[in-house]
Amino acid sequence: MPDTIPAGTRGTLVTFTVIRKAPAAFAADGVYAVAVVDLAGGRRVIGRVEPFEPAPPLGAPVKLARWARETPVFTPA
Amino acid sequence: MRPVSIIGIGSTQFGRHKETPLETLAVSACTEALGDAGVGARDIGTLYLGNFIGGVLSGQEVLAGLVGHQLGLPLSAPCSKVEGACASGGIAFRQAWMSVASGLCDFAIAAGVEKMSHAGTARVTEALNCAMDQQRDGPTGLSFPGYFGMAARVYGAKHPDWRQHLTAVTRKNKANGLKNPLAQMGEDVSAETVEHSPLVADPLRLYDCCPISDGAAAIVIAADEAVRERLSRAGAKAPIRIAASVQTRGAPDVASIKNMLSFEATVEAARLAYKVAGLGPADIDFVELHDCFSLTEILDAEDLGVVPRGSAGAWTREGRTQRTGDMPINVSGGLLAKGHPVGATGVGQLYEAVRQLRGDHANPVKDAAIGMTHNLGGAGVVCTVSILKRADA
Repeated sequence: MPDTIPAGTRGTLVTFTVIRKAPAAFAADGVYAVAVVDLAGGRRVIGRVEPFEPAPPLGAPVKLARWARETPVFTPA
Repeated sequence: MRPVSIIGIGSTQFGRHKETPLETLAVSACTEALGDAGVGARDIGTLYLGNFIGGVLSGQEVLAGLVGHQLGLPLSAPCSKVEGACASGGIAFRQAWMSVASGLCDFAIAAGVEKMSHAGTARVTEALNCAMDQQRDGPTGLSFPGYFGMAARVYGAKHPDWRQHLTAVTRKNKANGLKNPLAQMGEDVSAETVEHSPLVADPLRLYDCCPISDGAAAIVIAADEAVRERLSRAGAKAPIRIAASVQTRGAPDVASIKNMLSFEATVEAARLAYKVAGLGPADIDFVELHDCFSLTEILDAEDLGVVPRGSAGAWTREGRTQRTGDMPINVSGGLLAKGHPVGATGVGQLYEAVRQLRGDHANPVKDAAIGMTHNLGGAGVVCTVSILKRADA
């Protein structure tokens, strides 16, 4: 992400998927979930969501827990 | 722009060609197309070649020059590779069409080629990821099945019977593939097999995804005024008129896509194509569209306007998109069954459409006079749509 969103920023889970066949560069990450989140204020971002089992419902409130390299990681709010 | 038609087609089998070099696949398809057209290599004014990941997976660039040399094209004929991810072939066709329509030359070749099966799934997935915005989407570990998995989850929230919709698309296209001699993997597959296949990117499963493919396809196009005399010869195949060939752009990254159940590039391409051709969705007899995943066929059909918005899944379940239905979609087997040698796909769709309009397709749509093709790149960053017509339509 070219600019940084502060940890704690809240949003809504738009959708997510569980990547079970990762691109070669992400082999070390195992199985992980990529998500689309609409931040409070309306900005849409892509990141990861944890945990993903059981599946979080779409529309669930989430918050930005941390940055993993350039990727925001969201958890339930 | 002057009237332009397709006068020759060629294609390799789609599937595995491990021992055949990338450029040899393309040369083979082009040679077949030239023979079909009855045109010599010396008459060709330009060559456009669609290819996406030849550099990454085969270490081979300057492909168009290699192919032009092996075909023996004149030194005056520009040979250019074009790239737009999975729409590279559709872009090559449009560029070739423009060259002839504008009067720069009378004959042109549009070809597409890809070779992927020699690399493993993880390398192919990574190579395909070159079509992603590497500042935004790439760093998350997203894959293309992943994008469509996220879209499928949105679709599922709207359609409780989403799984049945997706299964119906896969089963139809796999069955169509059995009838197409060029198809990589046609199959009479049960719903149970589809719905119990391994998850790839939830909720999409293996049978929701097109295979990894090698292959090439080529089209020879000509100005109508340049072939009028030739057509009077006995045995000449009827030219297929290019009624529209358009290209549009769309959002390059996931967060810029506001509605994940539609591609703005497709909606705009269809609008322009209908306008240029002076036709509407009701005039289209069949469609070859970009079903890289089962869900994508549903989104594409609605974006193209050939099926009412929100009803493509139900139409598929009811058999209305089968070869004999109201709007036959992907009677070739589509990407799901015919295969998806990325750079070749868009040209391969045109090959299938020409076969239908000539009346010699192995899985024929009855009385087909007007056909549409749709080729989508990335997650909708580029789209091409063409409308082809029989000369008497």
